[in-house]
Amino acid sequence: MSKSRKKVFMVKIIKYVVLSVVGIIFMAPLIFLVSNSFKTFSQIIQFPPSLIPKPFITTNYTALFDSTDPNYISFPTFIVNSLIVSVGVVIGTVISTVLVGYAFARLPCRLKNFLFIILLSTLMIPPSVLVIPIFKIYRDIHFLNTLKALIVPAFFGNAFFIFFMRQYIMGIPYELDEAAYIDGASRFTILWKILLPLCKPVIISVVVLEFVWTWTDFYTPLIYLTSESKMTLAVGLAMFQGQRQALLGLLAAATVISIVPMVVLFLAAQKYFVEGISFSGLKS
Amino acid sequence: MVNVKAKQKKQKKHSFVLFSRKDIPFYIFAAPWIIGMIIFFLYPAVMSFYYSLTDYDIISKPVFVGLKNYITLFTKDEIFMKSVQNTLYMVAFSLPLQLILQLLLALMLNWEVKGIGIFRAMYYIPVLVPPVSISLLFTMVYDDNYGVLNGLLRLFGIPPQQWLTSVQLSKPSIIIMGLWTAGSGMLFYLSSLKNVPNSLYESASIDGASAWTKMWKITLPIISPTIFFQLIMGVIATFQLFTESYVLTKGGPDYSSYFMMYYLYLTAFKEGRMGMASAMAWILFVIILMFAVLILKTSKKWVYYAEDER
Repeated sequence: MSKSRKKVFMVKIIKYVVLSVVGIIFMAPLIFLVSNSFKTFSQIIQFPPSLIPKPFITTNYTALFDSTDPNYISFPTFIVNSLIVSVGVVIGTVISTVLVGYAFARLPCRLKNFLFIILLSTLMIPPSVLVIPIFKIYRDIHFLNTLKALIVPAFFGNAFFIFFMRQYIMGIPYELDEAAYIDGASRFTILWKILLPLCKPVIISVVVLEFVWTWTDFYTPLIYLTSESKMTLAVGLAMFQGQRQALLGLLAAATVISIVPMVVLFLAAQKYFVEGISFSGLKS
Repeated sequence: MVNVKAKQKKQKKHSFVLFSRKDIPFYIFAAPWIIGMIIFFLYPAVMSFYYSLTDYDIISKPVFVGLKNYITLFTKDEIFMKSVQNTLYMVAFSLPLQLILQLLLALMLNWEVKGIGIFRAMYYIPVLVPPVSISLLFTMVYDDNYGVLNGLLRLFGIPPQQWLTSVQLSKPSIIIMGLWTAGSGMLFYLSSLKNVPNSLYESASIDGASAWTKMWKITLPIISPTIFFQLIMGVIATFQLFTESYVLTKGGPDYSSYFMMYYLYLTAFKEGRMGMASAMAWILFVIILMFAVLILKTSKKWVYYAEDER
């Protein structure tokens, strides 16, 4: 008996060791990033690299928000633009995908299978096929170099999340809304009062994923935004990366700040998150 | 019996009618997507195909040239062929490594030990870093002179390597960098692992099944829909590698990290050859489609659905 208990204990230790080693590997680049953000330029490029900043400076951070600094790069503007775009896109995506996901999961339609195949095929087509004509449309309606270009499409649904929402709603027992329907509730009431509360985990997952994807998206803003005052964080960072090597410390600090909101969001939502993205079709 | 047959007949009679009043609620709720699909998908797809048959610089009118763009790409454009090869290289090597690592990490996070949430966060946090920042971070890691990686190698007496500046290592370096964000797929595996009923493992244990057998006979079949999903999404994503070329290597050295999307972007938005870029985009689409169909065809053999999802 004690032998088997000892074995269980050993297995546990081994598990923790494996988990920690992998954890350290994943964290190492970030730890270096944070450390670099408090270093002077000469220490960042010094060899061998050291972990502890010496001297420990915070000017990399303060310079980001100080418009009189010679290295100033409109960082606050990038942050505000990224926030506007991300929040706008998340709102648009949640509203549109709940409505459309519900339609695909529950409402009858003769062409539903056909439309569903189209929905899935929009996932398959690379954005680069569509981007040139959309660029032309945006140019004609003066959307180029505006944040609208990034936000407006979200209100028309995102195929990936519609699929996601549909799978989740289909997992909810149909008897629930059928009963309400027989009682005379409207489709909208059923969605709002009965299904939406049950969809909390999947909605939270959509919010988190879409926020992260929008916040970190590089390709779309790179194409549609041109002036510095309109840029989001991702393209803004890339723009000044190439400029001067001396900005390495500043860039490290900017990167740290750009990661923080998402880490907070993820940690706050992680409980629902893992529940919300399951769709193997088998529930225990 | 007669009744059922009559009903079926009735349905059949109606089946070629594409619209009935009962469908109206569906169209109301699905309206945002249907409208969006026409504006942001159908119309652009048709136009893009038309542009691919033209010389077009977006300012002046497109000039119809037939299949010239496609012929040029396949017969004269060596950089394009190089970019196709590089992209296929990533699909062949990066994608399988990604999928395996994602699954391994998920299996580890499924261990029932205290504080597992901390490790889950640790493995996932790299996903939250903007790709631009990741690329920047790894420039510091990979740098020939002051990079951390060469620093470590020197400690062990191994000569420093040209991670990003040699033709041999540029793609493997990008693959390693990609593995750092394996956490995104990991979460999908993890959530489907959570759905494997414990009772299955228990009864297998009673029958004396080893951990290995349980893995192959219970776990993998049950999560196979997620593997399938990740495989499809992974193919689509890998064919669209872009930021890595743009920020980390600028496609170099000697075009060794030119990927299709990067070349397409340069052709369209730096050189203004929209027609040529549209042709590239369509070739890219057809390649992705061929892979997707291939995976779909084989999926019937290895994807297991516990209950028919309608």
